[in-house]
Amino acid sequence: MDALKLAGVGYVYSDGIRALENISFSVGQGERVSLVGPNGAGKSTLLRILAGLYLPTSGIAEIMGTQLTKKDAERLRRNVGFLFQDPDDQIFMPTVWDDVAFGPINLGLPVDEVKERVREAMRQTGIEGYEERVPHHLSFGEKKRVAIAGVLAMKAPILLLDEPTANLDPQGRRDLIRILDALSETVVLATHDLSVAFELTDRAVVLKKTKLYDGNFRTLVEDDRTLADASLELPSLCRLMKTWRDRTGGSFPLPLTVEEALSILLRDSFR
Amino acid sequence: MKHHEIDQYAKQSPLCRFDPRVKTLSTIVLVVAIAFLREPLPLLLCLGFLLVLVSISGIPARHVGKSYVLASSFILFAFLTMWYSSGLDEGVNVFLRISTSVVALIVLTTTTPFFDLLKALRWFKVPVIISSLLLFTYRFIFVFQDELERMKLARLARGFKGGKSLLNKEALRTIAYTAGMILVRSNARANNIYDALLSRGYTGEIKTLNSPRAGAKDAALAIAFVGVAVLSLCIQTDVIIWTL
Repeated sequence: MDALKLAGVGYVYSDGIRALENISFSVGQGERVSLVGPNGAGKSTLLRILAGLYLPTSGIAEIMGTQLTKKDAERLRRNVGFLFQDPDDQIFMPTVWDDVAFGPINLGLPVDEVKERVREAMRQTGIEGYEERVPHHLSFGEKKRVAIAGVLAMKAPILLLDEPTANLDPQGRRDLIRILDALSETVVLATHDLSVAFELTDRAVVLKKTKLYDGNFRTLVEDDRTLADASLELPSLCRLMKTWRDRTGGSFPLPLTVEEALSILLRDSFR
Repeated sequence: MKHHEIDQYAKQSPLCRFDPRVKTLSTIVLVVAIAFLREPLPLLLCLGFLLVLVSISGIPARHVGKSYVLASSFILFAFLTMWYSSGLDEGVNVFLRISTSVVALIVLTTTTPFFDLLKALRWFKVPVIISSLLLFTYRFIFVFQDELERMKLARLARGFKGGKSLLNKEALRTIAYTAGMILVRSNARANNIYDALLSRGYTGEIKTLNSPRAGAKDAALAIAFVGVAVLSLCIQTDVIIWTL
């Protein structure tokens, strides 16, 4: 059974704006997928459909094998944790502890289970000691961690992350990648930062209202046409290595990480 | 951005340990009694009782004062209206009546965590729509405040110097556009917040970990509130002739 499945999904907003057209793909359990595309490509809208917050205006969406309908949406949402782009949209309660506990309490869990989940989620995200802090007074990076803790405490088998590293400083971004990389759940990540997508996921779905590409990153980084159509820019490392390959006439596949690039450079230098 | 925190003292106060349902009901009884009072003496008795509670609660007087100031313009308006229409005595009575009720509600809201208060209201069968409205009003106050602050900074950053006089037409036009834009932006953000709530299992019902159980100390608190309310009404109706 796929964790998520879309068949011919389209979405039109009430003001007539067509955000998505004929999107079909599925995400297996435990798989990590990136939704990449430019601003306005429909990534956030698609995430909301996958979260059971919006119903597709055409096509069929399935969450854990059950078709998303108005009747089942509330039940299906329990399978999905959604990290919003702006933590201020998500953080609601007067203290950090209350906010992380908000989801588990709504699930109707026993008190001890709620406390255990909150403790564990706060440990995972490195915010132990923040229990009584007022969320509005935290830095952006800290708020992001609180928001992630709130999602993790739900213990949903599917996590949807909307631009998780947007507006974070380099250290905050690195910390967040470390937290997300340690997760074992099914992850769908919407981003236009390809370097984050390389690090956290194995598969890319390129969106621009409709699906332009579905496959691995190795093929995507070599596909200039899709990259241009989706207004995507390769990370500096890939661009550098591409230029290096063109200038030296090399035949190596473009590296996705610093380690891969380094091994290519070392190998070519000693040749 | 800096916000006024509604639950700043709620969990530290000794009054927090009382059942929120008992506190809510007792406060309502007292406020209703206050509404029937027409003499300064029983009103001062109620006010004195509430000020004793404030001192027990450990809430800084400054915080109570700041909360009172938020309502003061309405109180002042009522006072001036009554003074003008019915004389100074009536004005003072109205002033005392509203002020005492406001202090009672400040004591209740400051010493009760917001969600416990909403849960107490639901226990009294206040409809979900009302408790949800209160919940969202609480959250969206901050949303409005943030949007207002951002737009103010954006205006200043682009050289806007108006807004000091209501006679400046250009400034008025800019402020009117700002007000409209705040509503549009807040609406977009409000949708996101609602989606975020739904994705964390919110169904419209307020749920908290605390399962309040009324005990002897809650009964004592209720008796104190009702006692003061009854005593004040007795003084008002001359059942007790109090001679100073």
